[in-house]
Amino acid sequence: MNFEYSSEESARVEAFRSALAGDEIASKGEALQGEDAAPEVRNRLRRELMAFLGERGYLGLEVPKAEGGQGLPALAALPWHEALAGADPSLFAVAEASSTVAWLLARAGSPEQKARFLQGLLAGTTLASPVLSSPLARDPAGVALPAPSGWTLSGVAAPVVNVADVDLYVVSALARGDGDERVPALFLVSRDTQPGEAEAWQTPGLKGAGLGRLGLGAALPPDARLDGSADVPALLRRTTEVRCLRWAAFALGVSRELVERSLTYANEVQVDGRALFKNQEYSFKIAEMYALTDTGEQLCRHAAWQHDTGDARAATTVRAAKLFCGETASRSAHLAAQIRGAHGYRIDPVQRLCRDARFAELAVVSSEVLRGEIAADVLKGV
Amino acid sequence: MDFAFTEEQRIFRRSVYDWAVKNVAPYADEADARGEFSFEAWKRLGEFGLLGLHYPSEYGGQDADVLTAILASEALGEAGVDGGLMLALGAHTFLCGDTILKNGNEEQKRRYLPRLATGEWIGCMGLTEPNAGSDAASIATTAVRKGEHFVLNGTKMFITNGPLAQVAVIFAITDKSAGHFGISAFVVEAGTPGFSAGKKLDKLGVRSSATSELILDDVLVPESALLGQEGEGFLIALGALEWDRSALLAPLVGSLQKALTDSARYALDRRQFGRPIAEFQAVQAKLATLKVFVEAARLLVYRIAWSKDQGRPLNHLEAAIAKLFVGDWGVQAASEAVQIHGGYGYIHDFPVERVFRDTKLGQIGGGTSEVQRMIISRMLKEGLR
Repeated sequence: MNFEYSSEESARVEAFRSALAGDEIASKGEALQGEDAAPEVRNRLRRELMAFLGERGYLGLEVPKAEGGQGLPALAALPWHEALAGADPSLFAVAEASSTVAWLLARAGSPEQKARFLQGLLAGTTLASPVLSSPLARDPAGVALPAPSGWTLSGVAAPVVNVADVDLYVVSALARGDGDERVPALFLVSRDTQPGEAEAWQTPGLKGAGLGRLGLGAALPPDARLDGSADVPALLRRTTEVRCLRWAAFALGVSRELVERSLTYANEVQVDGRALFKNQEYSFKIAEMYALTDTGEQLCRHAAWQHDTGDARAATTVRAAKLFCGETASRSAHLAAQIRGAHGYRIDPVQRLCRDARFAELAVVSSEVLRGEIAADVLKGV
Repeated sequence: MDFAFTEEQRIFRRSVYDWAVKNVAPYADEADARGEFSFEAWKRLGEFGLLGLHYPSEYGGQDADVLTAILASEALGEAGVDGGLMLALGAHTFLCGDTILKNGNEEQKRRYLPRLATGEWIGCMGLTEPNAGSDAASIATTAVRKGEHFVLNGTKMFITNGPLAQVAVIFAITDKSAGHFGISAFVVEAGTPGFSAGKKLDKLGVRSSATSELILDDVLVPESALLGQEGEGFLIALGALEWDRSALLAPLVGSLQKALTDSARYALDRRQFGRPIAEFQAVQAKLATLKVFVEAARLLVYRIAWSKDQGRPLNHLEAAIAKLFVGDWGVQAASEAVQIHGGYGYIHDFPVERVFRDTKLGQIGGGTSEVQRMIISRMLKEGLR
């Protein structure tokens, strides 16, 4: 056993963290997440920030080196995700979406598809989003029917990150096979094929992420199918695991940031002549936030390690990590707001983080679905 | 980073579990119901080598690393060994034996450790007092030097194995003006004039462990009973408390793993409204809560063990987090296990009832949850992470 990252791994993450904290990047991030930024401003900032992430290799962390990525195992990628989520939750969501498409493309794309899109995705000059589930279920997002010119894709998907400004979607759909049966398939849908109607949502948090709903209605060329030879259900399961780990890391990054800001606030604010922190009602809340975040970190790392080593229990532990970390972010948000009293109800960066944190329990797989899946795993094992 | 156990650790954990299910767990229900220590179960633990697993072989131990010792404790809990016996093991092996191992001179180690490792002698540690619980530095027991002897006076409280122990590590003030550095540790043997145990306390949980006061009334001990140097007692006590926040938590985690397994089986067997209650989402959510707790808690405990095996001083922040999490969230998890069992979870016939009572001690013993929050917040404030 070894519970620590190597000094080399830690140093690389610290360098990334420092770059994120640089004045120019931080101010762009602040503007991206701002309450009232115009859509076109957000679109421009997203692209500038994604190019910055691309330059630092963030967008291909888990993409194999042979495909131009960093080839990191999920375990080694976790602190990178935590760092970005703590610095800029909205940018994390945008980058996570694009990275997922790069990840899928690297594993299931044809040489032509990779040549066309992968380099841009890794560089952050092509923005992409996965469209993997319908709004009310975990079913595939759409239906694909063979057409004389290729495929006709229809359906509705939500939530989709950066819905109105991506260059490329990967859509999961039930495709009609040789007979009448429907088989799960993946399709690359580029913006120039007019994929359908994008509806950007007004959201309480992650304001820079451009969450929304996509009504699919596209005529796709025959070579749009991504998964010629791949076992799509297995690929999607693996993708869900990777994404759950990333969003668990998101939850931890946001939660850690809330701990730090609460600590600063409680030390600076004086009540009745002494620091707020001197009151156990406040300091104990920070202790709880820290303890839960640290515990979530262990759970997440262990789950990632099991995922990387192909351990049969990984599916369950990844679910446990996502569930625990998501709920930890929500709990930290609640406590952080409470520590700030009425100031916790003001629109400010901490309040914004609290709203961003909420998405951790919803992203990829909701806490409710995770509980059911974990229970099913437990019941199968007895 | 690597979370793999060695092949030896995996095999040993499995063998301890299999053996304990057959040889020790069967004593649990009766010992708990009667609130009596099981000498037969104790003897078996000694025969299997579990009472001094991490002691060097020259002192009767098995040379195991800390992680292996903790895996064994977890396996015993999972096998269904009751929390009382596990607490007795913890107080004996870690709080008493390990304190002697780490701080004793050669003569003390040779005299006590082989007897403790076999279980021939039972050990305990006397730190807590009626007015000094979590605030261990405020003890009032005194040790006054008298020539080549010390005279000990005072009362210790809530001492696990107190009425049974042949040997006790006792903390007392030798220099009141020196604050923390005025506390010293002594090894006191049963039968020493003036040294006695009070009435055995009847407890909510961990009932089979024998807990009592220890009374020191002009107890005369030779200078050779001093453990470590005079004035080192507080540091020695801190070292002992490390175990309260690691090894002593492992059986709780193991017992909650068993509670999870038992609850899942029960949920599959128990039918209401024409179907197993496992099909109800409310029951599934409770199983998930238990599962997440067990997965998280064991990692926190393993991390401390790993750190100790690296020869590092205790990371008090990590230890406090482990103690807080296993204590507070463990009680919630145990409560969910009882809830899944419904009325059957509230009667003695089902082990989850005992686990629920035993788990409560995790929030109290070895520093309450409130003290752990104090430690965490203080260390955060001071930037000690």
